[in-house]
Amino acid sequence: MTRIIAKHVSVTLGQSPILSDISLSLDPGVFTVILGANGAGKSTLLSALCGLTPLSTGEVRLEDTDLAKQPPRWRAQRLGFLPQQQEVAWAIDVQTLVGLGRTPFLGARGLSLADQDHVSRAMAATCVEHLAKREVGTLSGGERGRAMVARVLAGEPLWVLADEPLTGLDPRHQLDMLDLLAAIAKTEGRGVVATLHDLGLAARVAERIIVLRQGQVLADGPPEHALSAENLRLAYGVETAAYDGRSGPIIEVLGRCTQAPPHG
Amino acid sequence: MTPRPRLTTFTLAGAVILLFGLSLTVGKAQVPWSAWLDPAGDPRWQIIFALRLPRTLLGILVGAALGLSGAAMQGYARNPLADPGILGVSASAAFGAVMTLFFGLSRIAPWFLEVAAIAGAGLGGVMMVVLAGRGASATSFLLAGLVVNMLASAGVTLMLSLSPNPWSAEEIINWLMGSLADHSLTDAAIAAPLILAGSALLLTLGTALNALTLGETGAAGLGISLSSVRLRLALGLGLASGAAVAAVGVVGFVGLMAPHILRACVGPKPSSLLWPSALGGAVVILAADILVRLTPAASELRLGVATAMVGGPFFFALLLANRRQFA
Repeated sequence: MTRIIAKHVSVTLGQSPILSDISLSLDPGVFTVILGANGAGKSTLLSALCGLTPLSTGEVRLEDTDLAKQPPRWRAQRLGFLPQQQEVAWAIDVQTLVGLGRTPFLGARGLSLADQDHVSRAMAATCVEHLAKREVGTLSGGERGRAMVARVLAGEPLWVLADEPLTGLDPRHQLDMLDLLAAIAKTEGRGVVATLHDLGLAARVAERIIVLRQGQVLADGPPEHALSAENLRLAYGVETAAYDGRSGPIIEVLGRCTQAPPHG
Repeated sequence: MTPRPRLTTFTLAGAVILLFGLSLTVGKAQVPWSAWLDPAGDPRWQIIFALRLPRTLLGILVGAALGLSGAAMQGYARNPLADPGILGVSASAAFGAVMTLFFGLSRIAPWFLEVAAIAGAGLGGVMMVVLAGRGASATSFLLAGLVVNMLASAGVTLMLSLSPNPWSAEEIINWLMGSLADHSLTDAAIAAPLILAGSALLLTLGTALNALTLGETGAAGLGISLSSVRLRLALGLGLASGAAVAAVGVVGFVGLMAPHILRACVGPKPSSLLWPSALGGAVVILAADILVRLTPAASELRLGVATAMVGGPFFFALLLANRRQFA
């Protein structure tokens, strides 16, 4: 069972509830996108699905076991997490960066030949082989994004969970990144979950969209259902209209809605 | 420059062996080779084996402990300015040690001083990690360390000002200044297991420190248990730096200089810096101690003063070179 199943997941930070009673079942091979206003709990949900955020109630299950009961290494071998803050501290080159993706598998002797193999394959899949010796700090935004994805793929995870992978990318590189993530879901059969901000791009690539509102699932389903005008009004507090564009659906934001604000 | 971790490690190991020999032969007194093999007949044998040998062994141990502590702290903090001396670990150890001197506990049982210094260093490490908090920036980590340093130094000053008589104050001051001189083989034998245990703990951190290159969230995502890393770091720092300070007093800047210079030779990966920094620290201390001994002066220059005189400007240069990062 490579499904991720969340059962009645709640997360509370201090006094404030961030997620309340979320139940989901996520299938591999499907590009799933999490949407929601700022502060709706997207990032927390993603990190809870990775087992990185302690839950106040509920559980996240993978391979028929509770994630919280597994050692961190076990989780990291199966769930590849791409954090939003893609900081890289030292002046390491791309190859070294991608090699860090093998961390959950490392013994005492460092990268083995088999590990190196996974690293090369991940770099080939994301087209960063020619950048192997480049220092990460000198890369452009698009190159850096691909190198980061390569780092996750090097761990051969069952799941790739990416927190706002499009931040700071231009339109062309946003499309490249989404195609890359879609290919990881389609051709490699891994599970892919990403949080996004762009409604149009989400509608275009996602097979399943989960819309969060104040820590709860507002809508869950295929884009045309999840991104209805009613849902978007509730989730973001904006009036929208949807059209069929030449490349897919276009969602136009008409303006702020005058009814109850979403964070009431 | 291509990183050459292996070559660097072997070169440094060779340098340690060379300086070990040099440290036994160099000093104010000239000892002929014949005296080396004549423990019973020649009194100068004592100079080599009772004075210079413990001094040399302690130099290697203390240098390795400080160099490795610096490399581990820099890796954890993702900051090339981290060092047990600058961030208050050594000062906390000194505070612990000075308390035992102040209360006269070290005269009852000498190991009190070691234990107090180790506890102080460990506590200093914990305080720094806690004060810096989760996902702390380079600046807040440094500030947290400076706060620990100032608190511990204030504690030392308090002990000094409260000391009941001039002898007790002088004992504290003498100890604080940091010196490899006047130690016995017993001192080295006490420090060795503690420093080795602490170093062994710090050497287990390589993979985790590499993963921390991606920040705390990134490392956690790679299956690194941050609480285990913090625990091992604080314990390892406590044992290694604490025992080093207990043995020879406060010797600053070694943990700053060794990793930073070596980063250019072995590359930026924190794990490949650990062994070379330990060896590099030993090289720095041995070399500094030999120079100190050769300085023509009525009383010997203190080792802690010597490393500070070189290390201070070095730190300043590093700060200037990195100032964009801290702006």
